[in-house]
Amino acid sequence: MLTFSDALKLSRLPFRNLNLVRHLEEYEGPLLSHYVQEDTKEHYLKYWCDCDSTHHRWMWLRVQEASILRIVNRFVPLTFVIPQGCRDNFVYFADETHCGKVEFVSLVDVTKIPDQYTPQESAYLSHIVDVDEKTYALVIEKGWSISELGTLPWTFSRAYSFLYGLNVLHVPSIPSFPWKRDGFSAMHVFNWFADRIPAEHRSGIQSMQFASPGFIRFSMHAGTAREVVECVSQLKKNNATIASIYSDLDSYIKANKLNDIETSDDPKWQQHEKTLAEYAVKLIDSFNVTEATAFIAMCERPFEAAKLAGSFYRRIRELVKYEKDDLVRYPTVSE
Amino acid sequence: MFKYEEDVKDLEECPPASARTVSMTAYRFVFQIVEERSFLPVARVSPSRPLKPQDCCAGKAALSMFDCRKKATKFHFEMTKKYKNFAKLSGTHLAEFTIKTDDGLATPSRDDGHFSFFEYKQCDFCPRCVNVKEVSYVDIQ
Repeated sequence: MLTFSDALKLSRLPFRNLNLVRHLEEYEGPLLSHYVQEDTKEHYLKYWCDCDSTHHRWMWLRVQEASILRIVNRFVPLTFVIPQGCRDNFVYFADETHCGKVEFVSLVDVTKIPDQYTPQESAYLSHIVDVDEKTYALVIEKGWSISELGTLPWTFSRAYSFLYGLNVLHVPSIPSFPWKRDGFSAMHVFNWFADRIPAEHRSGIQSMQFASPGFIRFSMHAGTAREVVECVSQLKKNNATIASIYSDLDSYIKANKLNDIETSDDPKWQQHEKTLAEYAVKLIDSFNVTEATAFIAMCERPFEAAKLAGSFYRRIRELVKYEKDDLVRYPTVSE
Repeated sequence: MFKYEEDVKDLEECPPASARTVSMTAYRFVFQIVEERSFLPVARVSPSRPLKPQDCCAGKAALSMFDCRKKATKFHFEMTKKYKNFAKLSGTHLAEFTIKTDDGLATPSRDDGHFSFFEYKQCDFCPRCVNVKEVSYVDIQ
């Protein structure tokens, strides 16, 4: 193994009580692992660098939690974090003997890390499949305004509530609200969905690092959070198609003055129900995350299904805009 | 019946229920001289890296293998981009050998071709290794 010519030799690593969060990459044992220091809650990466017949050499570096989210989700190559994302001007190299007993420790200036001990610039972490099912974190990529700080989590949690109601709770029916133009019913129906969520999956902010990069970690059902992200991804991929379904639906409602019909038993509804149901199915189907016909069956009338589908679309569109404006990245894997 | 049964007797579901007998050509990273230690589970190789409890089954009783030469080479290439000394850990060469149904149990292959193999007591892949060649990235670039 390489020798460090001008490194400071230490008798041991200067931190204790590190808890393993998870191994981020393995091949017949760990290669890259995430640890959290029990008292300070500082995040560390332990990166495999080298070995000989008696030792494994690991690099320890203190990093931001957001940096780990970025590499885990393959938003950035490993070099953005190892070693560029190190929060200190130095890293530790620890030589471990059998079963992880640390024998030699060197403190090395970040600028003097041997090239052999860093990833190539184009290297990304492999996909990780197992995830924490109780939290979901958004990566903050740019400075947010105060209003963005409020609206983005709110919008995300509204879309989350809707999908949770449909796909996890399978609510038997969605109550009727007087859908008009002012968003009153949209607000109430999304609140209704949020109120149905059991405490263990109710969305709340668990932790937050307001920086660039930073993150907001929600406590929520991660599977449903990933469905919201899937909707964002579908809209980005098929924006023209989905936007045109929404636009056609909106035009249809306006052209036929459906917002102005006062009562739900007005005979005029009959001629529109089939078309409205078709638009609602098409719009919900386009996100590919829930069974559209089951959704229609939950709604009292096709008009309400269409309005709710449109409201959901607008929330996903808003989430897409945040990403387009480089304010946020939506991880598919949450550490 | 399994070669390392004693080492994992206290572990639940080891080998995993998904493991099956197979008859196939397989590949494993080795060093130039293929010897007994080329086919040892990672926990028996010194110096070892600490395993977390849920990795103990594969780490103590299984061998990493690949179902396709090209996929194995690609895996080595990708890992070497991330860990430049990966060959010092995994091996510099790729050995080809056949697995018969009475050799042990294999977990299903991942998309990258990797699977874990749990050997029965009498199994010995060393003498069966053919085409032991230095890993070359030419084929995949």
